[in-house]
Amino acid sequence: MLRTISETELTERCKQGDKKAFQQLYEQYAGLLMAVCIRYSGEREAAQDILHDGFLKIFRSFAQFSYRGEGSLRAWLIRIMVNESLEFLRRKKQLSQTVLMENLPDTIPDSEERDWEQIPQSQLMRFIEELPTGYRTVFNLYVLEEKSHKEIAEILGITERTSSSQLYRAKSLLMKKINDYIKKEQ
Amino acid sequence: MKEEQDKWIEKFRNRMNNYSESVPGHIWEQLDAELERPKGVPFYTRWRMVAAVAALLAVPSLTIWFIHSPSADYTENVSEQISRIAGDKLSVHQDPARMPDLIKERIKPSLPVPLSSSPMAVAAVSSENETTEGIVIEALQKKEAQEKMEAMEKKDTRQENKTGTSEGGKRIEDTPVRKVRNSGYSFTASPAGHRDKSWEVGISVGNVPASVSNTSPGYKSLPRPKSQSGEMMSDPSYSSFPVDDMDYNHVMSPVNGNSEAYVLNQILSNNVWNTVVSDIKHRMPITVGASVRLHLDERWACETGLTYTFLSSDIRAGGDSYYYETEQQLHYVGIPVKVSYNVWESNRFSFYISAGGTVEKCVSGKTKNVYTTGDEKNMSGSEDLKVKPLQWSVSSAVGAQFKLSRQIGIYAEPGVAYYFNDGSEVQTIRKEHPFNFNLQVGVRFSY
Repeated sequence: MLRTISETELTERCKQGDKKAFQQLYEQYAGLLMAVCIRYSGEREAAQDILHDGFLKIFRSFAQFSYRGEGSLRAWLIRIMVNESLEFLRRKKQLSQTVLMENLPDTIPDSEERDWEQIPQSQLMRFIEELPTGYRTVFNLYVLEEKSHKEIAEILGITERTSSSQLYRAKSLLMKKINDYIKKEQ
Repeated sequence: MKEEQDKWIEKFRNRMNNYSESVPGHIWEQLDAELERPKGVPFYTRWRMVAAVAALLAVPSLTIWFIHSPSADYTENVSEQISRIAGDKLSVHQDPARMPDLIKERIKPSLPVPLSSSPMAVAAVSSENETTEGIVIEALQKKEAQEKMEAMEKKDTRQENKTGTSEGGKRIEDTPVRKVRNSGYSFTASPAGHRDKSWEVGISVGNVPASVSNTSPGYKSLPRPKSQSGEMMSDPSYSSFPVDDMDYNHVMSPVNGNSEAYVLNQILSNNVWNTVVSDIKHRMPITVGASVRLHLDERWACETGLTYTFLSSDIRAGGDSYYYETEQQLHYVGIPVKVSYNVWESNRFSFYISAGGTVEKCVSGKTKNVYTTGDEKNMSGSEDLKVKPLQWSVSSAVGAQFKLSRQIGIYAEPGVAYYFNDGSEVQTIRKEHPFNFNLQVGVRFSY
């Protein structure tokens, strides 16, 4: 078993190319990053490949990472995985797909009063996965990566308007799914 | 409504922020194996390949030399002389053992290479040639991943070989002509003894007569100061995800008032739906050096010195009107150590083979970036690039030296070198083409 070391020490050792440190880095972050790959790609099989490629990039370009206090390592790792995932979607040309409006709910279901906190994270994850790629990408970037619509517009080459309307739709779809789920559970 | 939305999003974010998924074990196993595997060829194979390629280069040259060797001409000349001296009593093909001592003595120094050894040597080297080629092929087959690249290199080497030998052939043709002009005394080649422990100092210039360029899809990047890109792959921080000032690792040097991150972002976002290509061009390396050569005896000498090498590479990545260009310049100082063996020497010429290794340290490195966004060009100043690991290499060469005077000789050494991966992420021609043909020319001063 690996002994636990501080994030700074781990960073330092990874920079030196220490294999043990890479392994520890992997063990510490693989789960979190796997979730990133899944929620972007929406495909669990593909997510494994993305994770693999992303980690290879992480290991090989670790020298370029500079530690900027707590959380910076995590942020850097996530960013590489997000890039890797977006690259995957781009290769698949999924980002260019126009999103169909048909499965949009007419009204935004009101899920506020319902307690969706009890829905397990894995179920919420499934909901994200089920979103159409365009919605999902914007949703991920906005909600989980905390990007602004301006930034998202630049990343995806869309307008800010598109970004915000896709987010709105993503959110509506998710709320609907959450509500349906709660209804079914009851 | 807006507030509620934000609350909902906030809630969702907090819920999912630290969510982890289970990861199948085989992913680490794969990564582990990939980390374990050296990027290049296993060490022992490298050595074998170096030896093989060196032999490939040296052997044909030597073969040609043996075949066209002036000593063959001498044989006839000497025979004629013998006939003249000994008159009708001695036939040309007579057993040397029965020659009068006087004649034997006259013949001896005239034959730098024993006559009997020539055909054998030819046979030996040609069979060696086959086996070494076999080794190379075998080695090539072993490396699946690098197969194509190595195969290309092998071809290169062969081509170089051809030119090498034809040059060698020409060089040798010169020799007998001079010999004839200088007549008798030129046969007293390679006077033994006087060379013991003598010194030579030299200056040289060498290069690899090749530059490499390749084009590949995606953004490739040369290593950047304080941040280095992955090996031949798009820099993860650059590929598409824009840079947020909070945790962005690169130095934000202002370029024409715009932050580097900003212009890069423009390039990235404007090419999102375009075909993105990267052209990497590694220019021809240039080496200059000074050397000291110590003759251990008549045949063997060792050489060391100091070299300076300049490596430069350019990259252009992006679309048609939005792209960035990076220029990388690296300066190396190195110490070579070589052992050479004099194969043949006359008072004017000497031919030798040498082998050795060099260790080089990058003493200075710079990168410069130019970002083109539409009609606008943004330039960043040059930034320092540090390459910490040492660059090791092994080389082998055949050399020919022509003495202009007693003290001064000029030489040319075509050879091959193999550069070991220094383990850094810096892209150089030596990473791209670890095997290189090179030509070194120089002047040596004897004391």
